[in-house]
Amino acid sequence: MNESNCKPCPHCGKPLPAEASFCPYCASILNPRKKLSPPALSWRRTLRRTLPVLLLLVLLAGGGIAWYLSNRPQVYDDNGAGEVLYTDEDGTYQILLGWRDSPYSPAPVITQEAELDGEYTFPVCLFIHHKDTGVNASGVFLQKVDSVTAEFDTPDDPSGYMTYDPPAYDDFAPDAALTSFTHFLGRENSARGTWTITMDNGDMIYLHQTLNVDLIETHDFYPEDVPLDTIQDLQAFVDSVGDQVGNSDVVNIHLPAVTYEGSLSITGHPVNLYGNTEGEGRTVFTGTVQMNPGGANWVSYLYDIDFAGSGEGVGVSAARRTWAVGCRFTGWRTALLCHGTGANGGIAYTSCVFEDNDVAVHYNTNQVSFFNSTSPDNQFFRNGTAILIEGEPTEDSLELPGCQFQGNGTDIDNRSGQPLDISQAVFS
Amino acid sequence: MEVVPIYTWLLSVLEQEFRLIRRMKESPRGTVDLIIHPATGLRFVLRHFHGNAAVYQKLLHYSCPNLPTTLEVASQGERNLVLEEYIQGDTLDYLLKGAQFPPERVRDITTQVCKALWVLHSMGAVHRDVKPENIILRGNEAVLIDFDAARLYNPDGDGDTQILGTTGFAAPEQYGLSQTDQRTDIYAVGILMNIMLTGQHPSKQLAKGRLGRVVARCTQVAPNKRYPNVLRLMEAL
Repeated sequence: MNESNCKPCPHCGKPLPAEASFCPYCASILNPRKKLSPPALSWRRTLRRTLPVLLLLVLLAGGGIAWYLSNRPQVYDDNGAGEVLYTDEDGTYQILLGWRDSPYSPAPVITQEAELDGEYTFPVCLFIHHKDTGVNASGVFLQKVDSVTAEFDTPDDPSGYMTYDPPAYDDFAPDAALTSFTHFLGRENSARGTWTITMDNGDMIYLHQTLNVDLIETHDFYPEDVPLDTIQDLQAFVDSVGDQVGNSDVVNIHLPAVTYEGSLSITGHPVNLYGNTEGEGRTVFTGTVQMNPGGANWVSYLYDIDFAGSGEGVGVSAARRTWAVGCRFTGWRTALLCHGTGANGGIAYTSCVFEDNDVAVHYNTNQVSFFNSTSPDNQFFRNGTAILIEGEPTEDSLELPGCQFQGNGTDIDNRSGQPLDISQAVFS
Repeated sequence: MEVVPIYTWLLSVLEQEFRLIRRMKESPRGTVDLIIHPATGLRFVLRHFHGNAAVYQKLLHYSCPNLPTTLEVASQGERNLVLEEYIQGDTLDYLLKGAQFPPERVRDITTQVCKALWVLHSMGAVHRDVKPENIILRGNEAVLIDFDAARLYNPDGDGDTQILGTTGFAAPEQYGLSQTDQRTDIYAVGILMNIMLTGQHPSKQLAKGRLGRVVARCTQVAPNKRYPNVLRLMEAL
């Protein structure tokens, strides 16, 4: 340590790093700590318990009614603007509801896109500024505040909930006085929320925010609708489907029972591919399917498809989140390759069969967050290596419940030291 | 003089000034040691682990009688050292062996666990492993320990990046794709209450009476049907 980066322990005098919270020489706590305890129970319960006292106070307060009437608290209502100007003896404050990154712009109406019955959460921030200077006035203003609550009216569709968490300071938005995490269910819906700020002097401030939820559209395309007979047909369709649908729409392509010769590259709008499940014929790909669509945090699904290799190449090469369900991978040098990095990458596989591949599943990634850490009920038979894990590990455990490993040269080659949970896998 | 990172400095000073009593826990993620400061005779818990120490960093600035005091946090990359207060007492798990608690005791312990969870939830963290083994009774105080499974709630996230918790106490969403939030802990508190009252998981034997109804609401499969936060649960208690 140099002198600018150290401080003496106030108890024993030993030199400590400036950021130290504890002196290990004399075992003394150095930093001040705030004692936290939950607030009192709700006013209703308090009212029940203190009713006799309150009655007495009401009688005593009778004499003060005349004084109260002459100093009646003020009501400030934003009338739907999401913003009010509040003036007291210290000045005028701009108080508004908005997004974390736009502290001066009220957001009286928020429209969110959602899938049907999806559960969503997003933050709403309360900002307080000095009106004349724009300086953050949260600290001084909150000292004058008695309470802040937030509540939605009953939504248009009452079966789809919309709720606020109690407003509180959160490091997520350090410039905001308070933040509330708002929860809603994916339904075509709308409701008005009201934030009520009760000041110590009795003034009331009402801020309103309307939450509209628009359902994301889902488009299903069948072989009867579009030509999907050859790999060229399919490539042309996945390249152009983004022009036919909205940016957030879900696209499901239901493939016929044909064998696609050649490679498919998905780089535009994300699509989900459904293999044929009617009759005995399956949808087969003999070339590499590259999964690298646009859109953040989007999972592309592959359902009930056979990927049949000839001993070389990669079956599915996933740069973005990809989830194979009910698929069969046979005869590849690498059957399912995960090479996406960062939060947008990752693979999952459920109820898939991997047979006779050099490497069945290959994680070749760098700090990938599993979007789903569980890949259950897969069968790995006669592969050179069933699962090969390279790159930087995460602290997440990869869990393989119900997976069967049989006749593989190596079942799991965990070169990265990735935490694994194979307690419910079967090896024979 | 050379600038020494706090992690390296703390590791070195702990080796000089403290002595290992015993290793309490070892996992791929790291170790938990009980150590003693011979000069004062005080005992401490030293956690040495890889991963995210954000919850411990936040706890550095607060104190609560129902949580162990976090004394120091030092990180270097993914490696973390956390020094915390050693809580001496019996775990609830030990005390419940072959025994059940009267409703008043259950109400008292649960309320204290809720107070600890309120502190974590108010700083945006979720404990995710509330169970009898992680509750120590120190005199009349119940202390919630072990934040190894805790995480900060990310409202923008699609789902949990990992599935942690203890089978039987973990809420359904801890096995699925939706992200866990404070209602996940409320689910585990419900299971905990039922175990204290009946010795059984509520799916086998739900406690009777008013506390049984509280358990039933805590353990609803749909998170939005549970108590929305621990304050509401404490009211119901």
